Amino acid sequence: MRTLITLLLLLLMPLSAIAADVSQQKARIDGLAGQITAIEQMIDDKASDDTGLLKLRIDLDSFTKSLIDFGVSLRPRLNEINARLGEIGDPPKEGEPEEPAALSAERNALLEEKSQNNALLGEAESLSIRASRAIDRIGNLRRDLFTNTLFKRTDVAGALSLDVFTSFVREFTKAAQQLSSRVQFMYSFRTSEFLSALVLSLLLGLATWFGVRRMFGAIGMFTDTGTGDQSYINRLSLAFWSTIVPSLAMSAALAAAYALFDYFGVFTPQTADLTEALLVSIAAIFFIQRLANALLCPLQPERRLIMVSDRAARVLVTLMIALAVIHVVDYFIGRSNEIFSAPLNLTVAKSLISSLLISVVLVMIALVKPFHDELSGRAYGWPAWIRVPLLLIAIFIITASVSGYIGLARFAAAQVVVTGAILATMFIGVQSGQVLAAEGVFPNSAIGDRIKQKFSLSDTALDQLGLVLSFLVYAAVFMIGMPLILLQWGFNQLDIQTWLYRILTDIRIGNISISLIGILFGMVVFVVGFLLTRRFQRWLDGSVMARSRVDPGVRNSIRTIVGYAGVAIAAVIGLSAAGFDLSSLAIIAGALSLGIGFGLQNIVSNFVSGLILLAERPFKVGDWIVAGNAAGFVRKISVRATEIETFQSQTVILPNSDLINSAVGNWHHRNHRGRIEIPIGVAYGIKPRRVHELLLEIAANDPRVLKTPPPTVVFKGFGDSSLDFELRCHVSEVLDGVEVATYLRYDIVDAFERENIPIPFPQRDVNLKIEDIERLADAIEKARNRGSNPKTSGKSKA
Amino acid sequence: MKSVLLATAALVISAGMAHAATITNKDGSAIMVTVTEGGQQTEVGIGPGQSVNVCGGGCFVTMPNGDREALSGGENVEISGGKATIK
Repeated sequence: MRTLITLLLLLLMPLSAIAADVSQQKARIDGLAGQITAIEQMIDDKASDDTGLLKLRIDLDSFTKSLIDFGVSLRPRLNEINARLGEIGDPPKEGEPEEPAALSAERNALLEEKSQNNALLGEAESLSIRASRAIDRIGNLRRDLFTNTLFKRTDVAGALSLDVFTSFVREFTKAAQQLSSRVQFMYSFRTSEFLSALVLSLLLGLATWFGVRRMFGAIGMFTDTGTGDQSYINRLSLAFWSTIVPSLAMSAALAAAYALFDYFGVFTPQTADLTEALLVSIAAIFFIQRLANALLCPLQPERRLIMVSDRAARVLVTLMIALAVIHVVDYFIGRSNEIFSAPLNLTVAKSLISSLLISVVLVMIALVKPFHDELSGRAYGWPAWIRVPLLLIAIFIITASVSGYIGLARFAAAQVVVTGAILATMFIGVQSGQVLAAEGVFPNSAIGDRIKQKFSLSDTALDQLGLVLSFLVYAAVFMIGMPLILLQWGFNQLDIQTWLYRILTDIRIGNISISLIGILFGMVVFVVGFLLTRRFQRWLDGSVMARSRVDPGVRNSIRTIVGYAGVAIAAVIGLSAAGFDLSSLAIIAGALSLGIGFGLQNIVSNFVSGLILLAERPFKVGDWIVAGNAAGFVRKISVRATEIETFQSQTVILPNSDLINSAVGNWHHRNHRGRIEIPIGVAYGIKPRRVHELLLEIAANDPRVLKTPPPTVVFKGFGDSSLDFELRCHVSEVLDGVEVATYLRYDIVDAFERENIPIPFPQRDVNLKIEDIERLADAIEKARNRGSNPKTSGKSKA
Repeated sequence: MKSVLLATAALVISAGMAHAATITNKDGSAIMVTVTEGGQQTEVGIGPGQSVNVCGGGCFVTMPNGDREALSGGENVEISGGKATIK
């Protein structure tokens, strides 16, 4: 009885723990359910706030993810339960012996917990469905919102009535009063904060101004070649930097000033918003002014990027700045209307006016005649592909605003200014990329010149660098420009971020997902690994092995093997860093091995042979080898083939498998010793022993002939015209053999002359066997007698 | 050197990375699982010995024996006797 109670207690203990666990999970899922309800509520609240909706969308994405995480977190326990249930087995069927009560109690408890877990998962599942419905709803709402803003019709006549003017005056006075009372208040009660913020931001502005000027000095040094005539690339880079750097500096200074005022507590929420709008406006006008000046340079024709006439440049810059001012003023008034919650007709009126103004300026730009003919001196206008779209856009804006689609007109007008500015900046960027990529441009540019001097690079290397740089410029231009344009076109920043993130980390093709970042990272890892290998190789070869006086051939083998191993390791690490599953590599290798077996048989066999050559080292780099028809020095042993340089300086590339499979003669294998043989014949009649002595003497006198093994003289035989000898001697370096043999021959000739030993030519004794020798003699005699008349003799012969 | 880099790139791109979860039916007869992904519930039939790839970005799956599982992608699920084993 007692044991039974203990057992029950033991069983109940984990059960209570389980119950606690499940209730915890239950609390978690309830919390998640609360979250989704709250988000759904917020969607209703923010139905007209695009950014708010987008933020909720992001929240929903992470909410869905946490649902999955919740589900996954239940898995270990479920696995445990399933495993234990498997161990316990099914309940006994009828007729089978009954199981112990404890066992069935445990099973029931486990089944109970499992069903609870399943219920939790079911709840999570339905929550995920709710979440994706909410995501769909947000999408619809945002679409409607966009369409509504663009295609809402307003009463234009109402917007232009006298009412608007009076309400404008009223609102303006109200705002001015509010502002001035605020300033008054700040000035009288928070004087010190106000003043310190003001002074500090002024100082900051000055510092930025000087900083940019200084920096521009530096950039000028880079780009100004001193002469008045600027190369296109220098003009471009000057334009680019003189637009970007001051604009960024200006924005930074303004942002810092804003932060200062904020820090000193000068702002009320209203004034903060108003100041922000004002600062953004200032920065925007500043940027467009810089950009227009950079493109057209009205004062410095030699720096102009678009070749228009001086007058046109002035006019165009003015018009572009006018566009910017109109747009920015419109933006500022719009923000103020929001901030002071002015009546709607004011907003409509300002949009209408600014749209019309912008279209007027557009028409003016289109009608400018920027070019002039050198010959006739007549000015002519833009090409049709610029003029016609400009006019069409202007007409479109005017039509839209007059027919009441103010939102659309305003949108189009704003796009003309902002997208135009971005496109113009991108134009400069793309142009510089294009110019950089052209052959010979970068090495000749001022920056290229500097780099060349500093890093002592060749022109080719610089040219390639220019290519890489141009690619980087393109990438930067599009990575910055495209999102900016999309941002203007009603896409939200978060949207773009999401896309960008998707594109970079998760491109899906079917079931395969590719992460660009991962691949890039893998490549970087590989390159780093590769460079490290090279470095290690150099260190090992240059410092360790060179100092340990390792044989050059061995050094070469080790360096090559280390190189291949390093590249292989770098590749494997790079692959896994790219997120590539190495087990699939194994599958690929398995699949390919058959193909390799058949198709690449030769290459693989050469590869393996190369490894054997490096390991076994039947010859080393520098050895004089004879393989088949090729004889020469080994210059390089690589994995597929070995390079041999013949004595005629011809390079023979021998596949490694040939070197492994057939006999290879190596003159330098164990030692560099070699034997030379000099055959020599002397005339019959000379004493052979004397010749023998003489030859040995000659050999002994040459210092390059080895003493051991001693030189030998072989009396080879009795030749046709001479007694044949052969002098055989060894030299320590087989390569010197030919030379040593030559000098020995000189010595032999000298010695034989001294000793009067002739070296005979081949001699032939000719024996004529002629039977009728007398008749022949007669014939000769007759011929002599008729010597005075050779013609007759010729006839008688015939 | 260049060719090595290019080959590496090609290999990485061609092989890619599989993130979808795989469900394999080890039973002798076809089974049905219910997959809930992106708010959509779909019935997926898997023939004997077949495998299917489901859900790239996380989903809920109801197994033939009524068990539910949440998959975050990348898992290998084997079903035998209606029961799921997740690797």
